[in-house]
Amino acid sequence: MSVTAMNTAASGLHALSHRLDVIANNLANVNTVGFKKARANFEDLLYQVRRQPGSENSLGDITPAGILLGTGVRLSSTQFCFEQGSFDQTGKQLDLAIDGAGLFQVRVFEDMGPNGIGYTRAGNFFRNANGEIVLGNSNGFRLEPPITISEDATSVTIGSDGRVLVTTPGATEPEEVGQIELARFVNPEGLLAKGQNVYVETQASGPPIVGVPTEEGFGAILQGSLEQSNVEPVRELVDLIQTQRSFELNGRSISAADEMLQAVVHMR
Amino acid sequence: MLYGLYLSASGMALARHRQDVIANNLANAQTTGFKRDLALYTQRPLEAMDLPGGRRFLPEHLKEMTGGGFAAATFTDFTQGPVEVSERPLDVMLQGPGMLAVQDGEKVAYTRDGKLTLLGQKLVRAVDGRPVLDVDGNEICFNGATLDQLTVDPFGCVRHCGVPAAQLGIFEFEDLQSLVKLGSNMFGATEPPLPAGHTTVVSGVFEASGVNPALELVEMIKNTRAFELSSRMIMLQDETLGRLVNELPKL
Repeated sequence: MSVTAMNTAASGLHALSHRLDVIANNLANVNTVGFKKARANFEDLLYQVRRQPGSENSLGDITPAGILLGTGVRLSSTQFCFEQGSFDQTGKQLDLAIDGAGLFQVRVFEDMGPNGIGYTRAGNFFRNANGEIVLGNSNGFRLEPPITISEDATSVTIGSDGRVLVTTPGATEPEEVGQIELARFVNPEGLLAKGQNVYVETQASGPPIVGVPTEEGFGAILQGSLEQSNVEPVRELVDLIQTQRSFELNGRSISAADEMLQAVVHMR
Repeated sequence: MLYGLYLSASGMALARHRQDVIANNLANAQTTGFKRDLALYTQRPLEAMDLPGGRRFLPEHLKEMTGGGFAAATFTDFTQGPVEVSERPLDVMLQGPGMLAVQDGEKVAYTRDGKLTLLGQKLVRAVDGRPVLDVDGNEICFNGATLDQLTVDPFGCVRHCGVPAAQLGIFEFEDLQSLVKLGSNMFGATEPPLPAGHTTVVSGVFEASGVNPALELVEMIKNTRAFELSSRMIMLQDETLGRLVNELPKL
């Protein structure tokens, strides 16, 4: 009965509402530092075989193809797009952006991810009360390996290779207090987002490959810049319109099937 | 009289079938590389009507009576779908009739969904992680590659840091209609594939669903009306039959 069509359309509504959620989250994070947009991937569901391909019809002909009936769609995955975001010049000493594929490592809660290490592209770092460099998110995760800047430091210089140099009053030469290390992944799109601008490793991402900035593949650090969200509002809006219209179309499928059922009911 | 009832009922059954197909097309209006299905009908011949020794109606009318319809084999429209730009190097679109080979359990399936990614060191489809195969039917594995180092050139060659590493398994088919939909954006082959000759690969874009919503909606409206017409026909015939049964004896 037309109930198949209704269920098919319902699967469309369900999948599309998920896509709307993904787009809404992208748009909500259009100003989030280091945010990477996600996209929803769809796949068609299994096919009902109403007639086997190669069967014989009443004329004695072998049919070249059968009658296969699709039963709808589902959301198969959401996928991050790790394209580089644009840089915003802020001039702040502890605002760092990565021009390349690396991610900053931060010490997160033990239960958040393997080894208690999280990864982030957000480079809005702060100095906490102990002088340690921490991430400017709601929990202030410590940079890993930890780097402490003494309280009498007058300026901090971070080179493109990640070396942290501190100038103190009276010293003639800036002193090196640490080295920022970056991690990169075979498949960064397989990372698990934990919120707070932090990702953790998964089986899909593979283990982190740790190295120093400017080494091959890690990218260089830009001091005084922040990487903006890579969400393009225009694209998202186009996707939003598409999603909304597709949603309405599936709704029409249901009402058409309903009309057909009504015609049956009213036959007698 | 009763025969007409069955014809109208078969019309309704066909319209219902078409409605199911249209609903699936619309549900997949956002599915990468999806190809729309067409529900086609064929006319049923007049066999049952004039069997020798069988029931006979007025002979001069017999020739004009059709035998209703059948649902014909599903026809899949393999027209190139619209391009969607993603600027992701591992999103590829096949331009031409080719299909990308993927491993589906023990078997090889074919797909137009070219959103690729890395799982471990293996090149897989992003949609479900099924391994993508090369021209020789082997899985494509890299050594020390990360996602950002891979590119795909127009000839379907996957390059690692610019160095050719593998050739994507792109195949063409003599008759695309011989492919069977398997779900999960895949097709199964019922005849051996041919090496690609008319297919190029475009990177940074993917092939959106081939469903044209406006067209499907018009089809759906037409179909609903056809269904209603058949149901009206049943009611009319029922009414006539009712008169025959109830009023004729009174005369």
